Amino acid sequence: MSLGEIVVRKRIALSMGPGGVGKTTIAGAMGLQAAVEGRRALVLTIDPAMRLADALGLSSLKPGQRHVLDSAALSAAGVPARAELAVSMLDADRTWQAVIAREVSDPDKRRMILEHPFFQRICDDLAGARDYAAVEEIHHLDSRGEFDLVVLDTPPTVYGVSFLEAPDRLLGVLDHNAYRLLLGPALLASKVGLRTWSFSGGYVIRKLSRFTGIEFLRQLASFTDLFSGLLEGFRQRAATVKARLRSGAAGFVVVTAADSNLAREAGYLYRRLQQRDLSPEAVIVNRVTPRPTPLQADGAWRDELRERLGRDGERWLEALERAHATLDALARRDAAALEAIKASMPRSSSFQTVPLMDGDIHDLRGLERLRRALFDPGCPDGSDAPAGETRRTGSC
Amino acid sequence: MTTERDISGLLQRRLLVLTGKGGVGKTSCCAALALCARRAARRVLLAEVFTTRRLPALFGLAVDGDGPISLRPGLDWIRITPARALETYAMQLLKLRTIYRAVFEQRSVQRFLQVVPSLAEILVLGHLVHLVQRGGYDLVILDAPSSGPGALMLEAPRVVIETAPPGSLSDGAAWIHKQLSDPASTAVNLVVLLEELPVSEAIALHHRLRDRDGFPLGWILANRCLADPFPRGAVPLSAEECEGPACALLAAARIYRSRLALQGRYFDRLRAGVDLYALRLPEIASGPFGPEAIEQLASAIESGGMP
Repeated sequence: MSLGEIVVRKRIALSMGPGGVGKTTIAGAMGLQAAVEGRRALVLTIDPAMRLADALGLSSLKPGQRHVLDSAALSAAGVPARAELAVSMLDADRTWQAVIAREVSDPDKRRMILEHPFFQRICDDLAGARDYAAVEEIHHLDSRGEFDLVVLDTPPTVYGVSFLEAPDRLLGVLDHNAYRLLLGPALLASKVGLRTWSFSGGYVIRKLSRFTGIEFLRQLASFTDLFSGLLEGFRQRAATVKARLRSGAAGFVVVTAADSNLAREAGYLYRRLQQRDLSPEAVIVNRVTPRPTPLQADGAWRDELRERLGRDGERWLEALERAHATLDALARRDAAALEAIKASMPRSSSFQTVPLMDGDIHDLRGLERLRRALFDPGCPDGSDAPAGETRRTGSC
Repeated sequence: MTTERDISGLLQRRLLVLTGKGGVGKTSCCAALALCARRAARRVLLAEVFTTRRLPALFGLAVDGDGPISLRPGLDWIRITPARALETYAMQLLKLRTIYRAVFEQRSVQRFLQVVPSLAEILVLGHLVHLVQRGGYDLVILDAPSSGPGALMLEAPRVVIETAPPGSLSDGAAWIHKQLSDPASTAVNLVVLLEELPVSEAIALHHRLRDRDGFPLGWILANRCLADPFPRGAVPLSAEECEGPACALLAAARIYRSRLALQGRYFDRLRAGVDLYALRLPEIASGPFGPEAIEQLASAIESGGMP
């Protein structure tokens, strides 16, 4: 499926890939395209770095807040939008607090959870708690149906799909029953010291407490106890999100750069997604150096050009040829990397390359140029034509 | 903070850590620095953590295990995973493998270990510091995770010292932190590309690591810089009057020069924001980035980078 079709047909789109390949800007451009198509979209970044804000030139975007790019803002940046675009950065703390507030009706118990020292640890990314918060957020957004499309900018992935594996990991970690034997009734009661332990877990606990100290074990025990009633809800929502991501409503996009050293990682991620029935719909190879127009082998033109370049003609000609040769070598290296990336993926996958832009993307205008490159490849800037030539089509 | 410009000073350290935004070429720079150290006859260990055996691949080797293996004479590679580090560490603590199995290979204990804050980082760093201090190598080079996770990893020992109760975990953390914050034997180096986001991340990371954490910083390596072959002034031919190959050259020159201009602007911003010695390394465009390119990059580092 092409990226354009994903934006039009899906309810959830996920931008995934190794670090530094441009997942955030691709996610942002998908959001813009949705606005151009008249769909109400939200781009949500899970990555704690400020890249979405940077890419959009929004220095004021704070975690947890939602910023709406209205039609005035979009058209000022040259985006022919027919809908607004919302952007937001995940605030894991706030999501967790909201979940606890929704799920725990007893105010005393709610307070005990929120004030528990372990709760803050959870919010500070305990065993993927941030990733889990993303899953809760997806569930929340998806079930409210406020948006036609939610585009997720995910954290860098090497070893597969860590943020989709987070619920299992986290639920395992917080599973009270798993510790029952280990921590034992003595510790769960939180009254008795280590010395009184006479059951089989006591030995293990003594060894472990040499690592962590006994207070940590006590806190863990009391927290898993408080949390035990909540796990079923967590599990259900995680299962709903998983099923949703496996359904036709979600589209996974693997983003990579034209770098042969990333080919293996991108291929690995692709297969990991497939193994989990999360079929990747498209592969985006970002920032590919366009091939400059080749020079004629016959060198007669050189003498004429040297002449026209004037007094320093020889030096200028040499410099011009050197710059051309460097860009050509970079383009060839990128083309070779592209082949390596294609070879690491199944033949059937849908590939799209994005030419390296002049300059970085750090405002809405830059993001609009990327959108055109991705979705209107006939337009200037998005051209895959040789450098120096531009094609125009009616839609630009 | 002194700004040392001599590579030999850097290579006299026992531990070099390289971090920076994802995709800037940390791994390539680690490999090139390792070759520089080899050329200075130092015995080197290249270490990677949490990644997928990128370093051997750069040296043209396909590797399955986690090492240590030899990449070149006097240059070894190792991949340190939390599981590997845990086993090594726990074995030292518990002495007996049967006890290790009884305690650490229990499923509930494995789960439990995931909730101990910063444990994975502490274990990996502990293993690394052990390798630094054991004396088998003159220099250990760590290909650290990218900016945010990299800083969190280096900060983990301090967090544990401040929050964990006394015990072997906090003792271990103190021992690691001492190594990481010793300017005589450790230097944390930042790799950047001369682009908007890598440069802003490097400036922020520099303040965080130096001012907040007190780590000894080494060099900034500005990777993949284009050389400027042009004489001064504008190209003495306008795009309107060109034809054929001249047009192709002018078009390429326009793209090339706009990249040079951006590069220059971001280098100035980097130098204004960071008081470390910043070395510009050339873009190596010939062929795929492999063993030959690393040699070229190492030579560029030795000769002081680009003018």
